[in-house]
This record gives sequence, C-alpha cells and structure tokens, in this order.
Amino acid sequence: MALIEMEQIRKSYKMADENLEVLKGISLTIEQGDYVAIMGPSGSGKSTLMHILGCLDVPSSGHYFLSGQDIAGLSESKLASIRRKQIGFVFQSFNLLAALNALENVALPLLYQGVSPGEQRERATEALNQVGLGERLHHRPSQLSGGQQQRVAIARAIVTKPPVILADEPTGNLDSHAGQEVLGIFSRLHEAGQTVIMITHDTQVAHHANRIIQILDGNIVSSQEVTHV
Amino acid sequence: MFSQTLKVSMKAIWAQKLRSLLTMLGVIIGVAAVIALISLARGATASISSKIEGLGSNLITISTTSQAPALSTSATATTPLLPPGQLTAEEALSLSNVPGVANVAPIVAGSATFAVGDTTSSAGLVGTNATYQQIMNYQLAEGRFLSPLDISSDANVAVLGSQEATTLFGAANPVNNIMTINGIPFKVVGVLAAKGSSFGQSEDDFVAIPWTVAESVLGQTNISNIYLSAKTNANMTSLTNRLNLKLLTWLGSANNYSLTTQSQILSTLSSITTTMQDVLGGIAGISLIVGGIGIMNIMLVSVTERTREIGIRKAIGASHSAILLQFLVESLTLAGLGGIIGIALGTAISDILGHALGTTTTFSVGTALLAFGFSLAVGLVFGLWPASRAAGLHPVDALRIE
Ligand SMILES: Nc1ncnc2c1ncn2[C@@H]1O[C@H](COP(=O)(O)OP(=O)(O)OP(=O)(O)O)[C@@H](O)[C@H]1O
Ligand SMILES: [Mg+2]
Repeated sequence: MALIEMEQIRKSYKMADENLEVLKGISLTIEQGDYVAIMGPSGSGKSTLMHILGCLDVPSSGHYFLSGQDIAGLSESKLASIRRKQIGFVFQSFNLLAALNALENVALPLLYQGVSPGEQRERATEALNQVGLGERLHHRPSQLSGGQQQRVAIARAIVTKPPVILADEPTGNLDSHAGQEVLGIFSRLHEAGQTVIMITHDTQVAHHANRIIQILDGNIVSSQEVTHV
Repeated sequence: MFSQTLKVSMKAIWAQKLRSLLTMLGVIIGVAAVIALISLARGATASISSKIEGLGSNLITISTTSQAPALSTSATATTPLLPPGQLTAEEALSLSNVPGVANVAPIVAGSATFAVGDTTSSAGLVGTNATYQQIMNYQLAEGRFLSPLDISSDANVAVLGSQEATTLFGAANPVNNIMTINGIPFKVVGVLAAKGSSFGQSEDDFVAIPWTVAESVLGQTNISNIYLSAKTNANMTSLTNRLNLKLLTWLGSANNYSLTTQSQILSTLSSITTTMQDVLGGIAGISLIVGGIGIMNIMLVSVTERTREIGIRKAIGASHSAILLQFLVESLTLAGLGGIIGIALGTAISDILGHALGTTTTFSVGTALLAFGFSLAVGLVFGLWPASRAAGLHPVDALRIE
C-alpha cells in the first residue's frame, strides 16, 4: 500500500449564507520515498490540502489513508499523535518560537514525544548538523538569517524522522541563494529515502521534485513526472 | 516533561519581568497582608497571654466597681467617696478562711507624692500585704519585700517598683535609704525587678507599703482590689461560687463588684483572637481571589497573544493536554511565585512593624504554608479557563493568525 492515498477528498467552509467548497474531490497517491511538488494559483486550495495531508485539519468528506490508517473521523488527540510521529512541517514563514534558541526549537517535537532531555539535545544537535547549522545551536531566531531560520525549521521537521515532510512554500520568503540551499537539503533528504511534499508557486523550484501536481480551483488538473536532465 | 514545562514557563515569566510582577501583584499583596497581620496578631496575643499566664492561672481578681478609680488624683484619693457597701481590708483578709483560697492580698490604692531630697515624683501608692509579691509574680532586684511583721507593726517601710526606684534614686541603691510619702518618712527595704508593661500600662511605676500604713497615709479605709490565689486551679467554679456568696452579702449586688479568674481572661482573649484571625483570613481570601482574577485576565491576554505559538506547537505534535499543562504550569508558577514573594514581603513588613510598635511578632510556618497553598489553588482555578481556551484552539485557525 502507498504511503499516502486520498480518495475524493472534499473540504468546505460554512460561510454566512453559503457553503464555500475549497477542495472538490481530490484523489491522489504518493509512494514512500517520492518527492512531489504541488502547484497552483493563489486560493486554489493548496494550503488547505496540505493541512489535511498533515492531519492539522480533517476533510468534510472522502477518505485519507496515511500509512494505511484512515484519518477521517479520528479525534483531535489521535491527530496530534499522528502529527507527532508521522509528519514534519516546514512553513513559508519559518514559524520558529522566538523565545527559544535553535537547539530548543529543534528539540521541541522530541519533548512532545516524551524523549529524555539528554537524548533531545543529542538528536537536535545531529539534525542541526545535517542542515549545516552545527555552529549556530544557541542562536535565537532573531539572530539568524531567513535562510538559516528555514534550515532550523527543516531540522525541526526531520528530528523525529517522520515518514513525510510537508513544506508549504518553503522558499517563498527567501532569496534565490538561500532558496537553493533549502532545495539542496530537500534533495539530499529525498536521496536518503525521505518522502517530501512541497507546495510552490515557482516552476523552477517545482522541477527539483520527481512529480508535479497542478491544482486549479480545488481540483487536480494534472500530475506529471519530471524528467531530470 | 513536567520539569521542562516548568523551565519553559519560568523563562516566559522572566522574559516579561514587569508584566509578570504586575500580574502577581494581587497575590503578593494578599499574601503579604495576611502574613503580616496574622503574625502581628499572634505576636500580640502571645505576649499578652504569656503576661496573663505569668500571673498564675489560679489568680482571682476582685474589683469593687462603685468607687473612685484606684489611681486617681490625690484630691479624690485623700477625700475618698465611701458609698455604703465598701469593702475594708479586714473583710478582704477574712476571705482567706474560704476553703480553697491560698493567699489574699488586699489593695488600698491611691496616688501619692514621693520625695528623696530634692527629687519628687507623683505615682501610685499600693497598700498591701506580704503575699502580694508572690500572687502578682514579682521578682526582687534588691533587698526584701514587705514582711508580715511590717504589716502587724504598722512599720513605715516601702518597696519600690523598678521604674519608681530609678526616678527617685537614679543609679544608686535605694535600700536602707529614707524617702517621704506625702511628707511622712519611710525606709526603703526593697526594689522589685522590672516587669514591663501590659495593656500599655507600666507595672513598675509604683511604691508598695503595708496596707495598715496606707490607710492612714491615704486617709481611706476602703479597698479597690483584692488579689487572691487559689490553692489549685481545679474546682475554680465552686471556689468562685463560694467567693460570690460572701461578696454578695457584703456588697448587696453583683453590680457593685467584679470577679475574674485568669482562665476567664484567657478564654475571652483566645475567642477574640480566633475571631480576629477568621476575619483576617476572610479578607486575605477575598484579596487572593481578586489576585486570581488578575492572573486570569493576563493569562487570557497571553493566550490571545500567543495564538500563533500555540498553532506551531500543535503542528509539531503538542497534544491538547500538553498545551493545557503548559498554560496551567505558567499560571501556577505566577501564583506560586507571587505567594513566595508575598510571604517574604509579609514577614519583612511584620518585622518592621513589630520593631516600630515594640511588640513581638510570631512567624507561623503553618500560616505561610496555608497562604502558599491557597495561592497555588488560586493559580489552578483561575488558570484553568485560559489554559483550556489555549488547548482548545484549532491548529489551522491558530496558525493563520499573524
Ligand atoms: N477557515 C476558512 N474559512 C473560510 N474560507 C477559508 C478558510 N480557510 C481557507 N479558506 C478559503 O479557501 C481557499 C483556499 O485557501 P488556501 O489557503 O488553501 O489557498 P492556497 O492555494 O494555499 O493559496 P496561496 O497560494 O495564496 O497560499 C481560499 O479562497 C480561502 O479564502
Ligand atoms: Mg497557501
């Protein structure tokens, strides 16, 4: 069975007078180890889809199997447990906690897993080394560049070794150099067997992936393999 | 996980020192007030009751109420009012025949002028007998107290209270010196050790002479007080009944005298103290609840401000209970710190006030623990709503907040 399987996922929001349907029957399959880019115009429902993929939200209807488990109808505490073990998030705006230094930010998911403080520090240091920030362990987010902050966020996403990394426009706030660094890390993770799903507006960025899924107005309009030269 | 959460919340509190302090202020003031007030009250109670207990729990005081105050101006003292039914010293002394009575000290009291050379002073003159020293628990600093022979022979001898000794003789030893009382020469035979003051009145500012002599010096035969000691403090009720019977036949009505035992005074005092502590506890409770509302207010603001942080924490796997714990620990830490600061502040205030008022203060570990426990309870109760609001936030909604 594939790592991710979605069948006819719909998501609608109840507005004042009408039901706003944002996802209109998404079906997709993503295999273990795949590197997928999701593209589409603003407001097409990419982030909404990613929130469902990451178990931050539940679909209005349809089925979503993650590692064979049906997510629909799970309680919030079950969803939190899945996020804790199976998902690593990277956001456009980094979303690091300003009061914590790099090491503490990266260790946070391990804290929620109940890992001992000593092991937290060890594994967080290792993850920061992996993204090339072994020298910046005790810097606060405000003392780091945007590119470095995003690498801390990636370290935080991989520190629990989750089956899936979900990245919502990870290069959106970065200049091209910092963006290349981030994409380089994703490529290396992918080569090591990590499943990565990345939302982007940028066709060049999308071409780092294996496959590009195009979304328009809540529907998947195409899904193409990328041919690397 | 709990100790790390505690560390995180200490960090959050430290990051906003001023705001945290203002948040804790209600609890700090409430706890400080209760600690200071209760330790002052306890100190005062302890010193008063130790004074009273120092007199012996088998002391009985009889005061006649239908006469001029014992220590009034010399004019009224030398021309006493003598309404019918006054007690004389002879009658008082006959009370020693009542079964259960150990000693009786009649008091013929008035105000007199004392002089040694050019030094004069006006103070209380106490005419009594040899048992007075023991009944009233005075120690001797110099010489001896009045003897039974002094009484029976109408000897012109005087024993000085420590304050009066200093006033008249300065640093010199007064024993065997001559002084005059209302112009009549007396030989000083002893000086009492200082006892301090009770109810704001000095207990060392008087001169004691035989009551037989005092009657002629003061020109009065009525007595103001009788101090009795019981043989034992068991069966006090039947003893006071027997005494009341005698006094009623002498004085006609219970309105003309009062009879109090030490245990009565102590139990009145302890019921006053209990009421006072209950009232103080109530006030402290109210102020702590106000303090708790202050904490809740700031915690609610904090939850709103940190919505995005909560969203991030949820996205990386924090469960409902982890967020709940985080905010509860934070409000508990605020309230607990407030409690500790309040206890320290209250102890300092009661020390300073105690020094200023010259009273002893008693720091009670029990009260401190109770106040600390109550602040923690306040932190828990008033932290619960903000914490459950934080924990109940939807992760996506929380993440969308900028
Ligand atoms: N909580 C909500 N209530 C109502 N409508 C919502 C809510 N969340 C999202 N939407 C709507 O869903 C649509 C899709 O939003 P989404 O954030 O998924 O778009 P997107 O493809 O990620 O766009 P962008 O590229 O700009 O990030 C938008 O029209 C948005 O207004
Ligand atoms: Mg989006």
